[in-house]
Amino acid sequence: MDFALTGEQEALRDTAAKYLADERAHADADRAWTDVTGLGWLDPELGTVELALLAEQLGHARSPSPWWATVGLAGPALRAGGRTLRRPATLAWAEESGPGTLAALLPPARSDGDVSCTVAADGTLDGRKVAVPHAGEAVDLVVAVAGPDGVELRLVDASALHPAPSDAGPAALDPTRPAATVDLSGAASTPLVAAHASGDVLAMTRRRTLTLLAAEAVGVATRALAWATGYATARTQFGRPIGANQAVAHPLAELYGQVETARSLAYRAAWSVDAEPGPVADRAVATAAVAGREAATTACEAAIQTYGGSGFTWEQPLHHWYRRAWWLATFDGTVSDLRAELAALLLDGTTGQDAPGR
Amino acid sequence: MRRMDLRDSAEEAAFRSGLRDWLTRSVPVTAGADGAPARGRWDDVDAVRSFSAALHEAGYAGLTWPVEYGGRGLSPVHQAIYLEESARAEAGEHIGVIGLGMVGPTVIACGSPAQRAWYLPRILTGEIIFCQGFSEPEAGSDLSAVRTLARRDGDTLVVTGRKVWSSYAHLADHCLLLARTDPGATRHRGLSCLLVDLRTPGVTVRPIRQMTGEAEFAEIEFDEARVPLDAVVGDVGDGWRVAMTTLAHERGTFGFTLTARLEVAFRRLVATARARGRDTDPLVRDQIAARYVELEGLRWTNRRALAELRRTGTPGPETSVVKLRWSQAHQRLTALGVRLTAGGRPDGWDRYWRREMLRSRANTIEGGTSEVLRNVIAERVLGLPRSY
Repeated sequence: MDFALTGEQEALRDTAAKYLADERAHADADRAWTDVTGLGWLDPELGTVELALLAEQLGHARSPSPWWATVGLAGPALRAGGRTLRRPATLAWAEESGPGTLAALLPPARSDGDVSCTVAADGTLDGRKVAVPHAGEAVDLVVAVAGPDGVELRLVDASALHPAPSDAGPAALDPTRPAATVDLSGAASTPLVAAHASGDVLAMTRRRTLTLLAAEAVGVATRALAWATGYATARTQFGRPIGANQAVAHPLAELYGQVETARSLAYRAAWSVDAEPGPVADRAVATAAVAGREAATTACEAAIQTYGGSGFTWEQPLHHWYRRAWWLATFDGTVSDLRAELAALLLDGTTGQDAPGR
Repeated sequence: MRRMDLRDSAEEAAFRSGLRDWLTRSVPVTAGADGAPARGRWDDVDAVRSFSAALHEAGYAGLTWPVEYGGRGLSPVHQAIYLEESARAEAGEHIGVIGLGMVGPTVIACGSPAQRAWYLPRILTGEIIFCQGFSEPEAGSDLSAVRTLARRDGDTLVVTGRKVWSSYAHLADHCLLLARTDPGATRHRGLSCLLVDLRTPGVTVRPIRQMTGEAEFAEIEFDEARVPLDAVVGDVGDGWRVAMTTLAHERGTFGFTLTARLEVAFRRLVATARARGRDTDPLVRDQIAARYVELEGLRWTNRRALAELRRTGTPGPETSVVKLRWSQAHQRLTALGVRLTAGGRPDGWDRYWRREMLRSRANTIEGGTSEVLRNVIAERVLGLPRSY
């Protein structure tokens, strides 16, 4: 048993941190994407542990990059279909009156007829997908559509589509995580994953995406805690740093414990996704997702409180991370949904028999 | 290339399966007809003693002690595996928890050859049972305020004072005592650590009845008790360093002990929910899942800290959070147990959870209060200014 990062993993993480601390990483989307490919962040050799380390740093920097959607949401289907990851990519799975979450697309939750988007014999699609992350930036769009044998995954060139953004401006939870409605009617598509294999690929897609976002949430939480700690040390009231008051210091100490346990769980889930059987990995992923999401919102709230009035202003960057934390907390289901899933894994059927365990 | 791998190595897996077989054969069944644990941990001391002897005979006592002192010389990973498997098998603990985990390692690190030769084999067999005499009525969180005096009189030290909250003192016959050998010194100076036989004239052990109704702790009174000078561990006046060695060992793999106990409690919680037909209630399910997340957070943080310990030789900052979060998790879990068993026909489970819930109130106090732990994290890990 060895739960230590290797030298290569640490180097990957440190390089990412250094690059993301630079303005260049956030200035221009096209150039940032060229950097992402140049840095090797789309390489097929990267396992989920390495991807999680990158996601953590991207969360720390609150990067707007569609990288997570490319490697997380679209990656497993593209790779299963023999494609390489090169361009920004995403996955369209949700429908207005069809499946809402990725979980709803997985057997046995999914039943025939849930998916109303269809594909004709010549590959032409029909139907509409909602809440497609980064639909405006993605070039490769993976879609889950109903074919003659069931739900299959197909590839669409998204540059020909005209996604309708579903939220924007300050009202958007996190404007750097835009979602859009995509009308697929008449769009040409090529096959990626046949119906018989789509369940496994989508299960892996969900595991990997939720794990990357759990790691990202840990990065968000780490940044918020660092800000709060810095401010508590620097800000003076009543003739001493506010952090010299236990009423300020102790919640941050608690938070440290919450963030570190969430980090352990995120790394563990990342390892599990590649190394352990499905039900075990599902349990690890749901656990990490709950802990990571809760750590991110709690950390941002603690930071805002520590900053006092200035923490509530638009000028202070805290709200950008808080918005990301809430986006994370509600992506593809809430923390309550994840706990319900975890309870099912622990209490129902045979997979719960050996819980808690390896 | 070395890779992160959370599985057992081949050698660790072999150790685990051998241990599992042994536990299957050796752990006595104690659960009642309803599946609830029939007794408290120490209700049947004879059974604990004989299980401890069996553990020693099978080579599972002193796993991490060096071979030359009768241990197995294994890594903390093996200790962690031992704790996990014992928890799964609902096995009891070795009677000499304090001796094996704290006093023995301290004697190995700081003791004289004669002390090592006398105490170490007897700790391993369970023949000598240690308790710890650190806290006093006026020295709780502030351990350096110790007042118990050990006055030099020729070749003996004459000990006078009062120790409180000595866990296992009701079973123990020996005590690792922190006393002031230099009455003129204050704070961390002029202290010494002594190995004291509790049957020495002038020593009185009085159980402290706790809110559960039991007495797992005791007050130890020393009234001119005469202890030979060679009972001092390390040098006279070096007691603070020795005591810190002891406490460092408490923090080493103690997180695994605590988490293993929490894992047992979680399994019992699930069993209780099933036994009472509450496992289909969505609110109960949400709570059980939340407790599971806390348990897993501790398990994997322990492992991450262990990896850091192996790599750098010192426990990482993660270690400091385990006790803090374990105590809170255990309190929430036992409270849920009480709520699950409220109402209905009384059985073993409601008795069990009521006791555990009351006992868990001490968790945020014993072995470093949560307030002191938060200070430690705030100052030493986060680098915040010293707080008041």
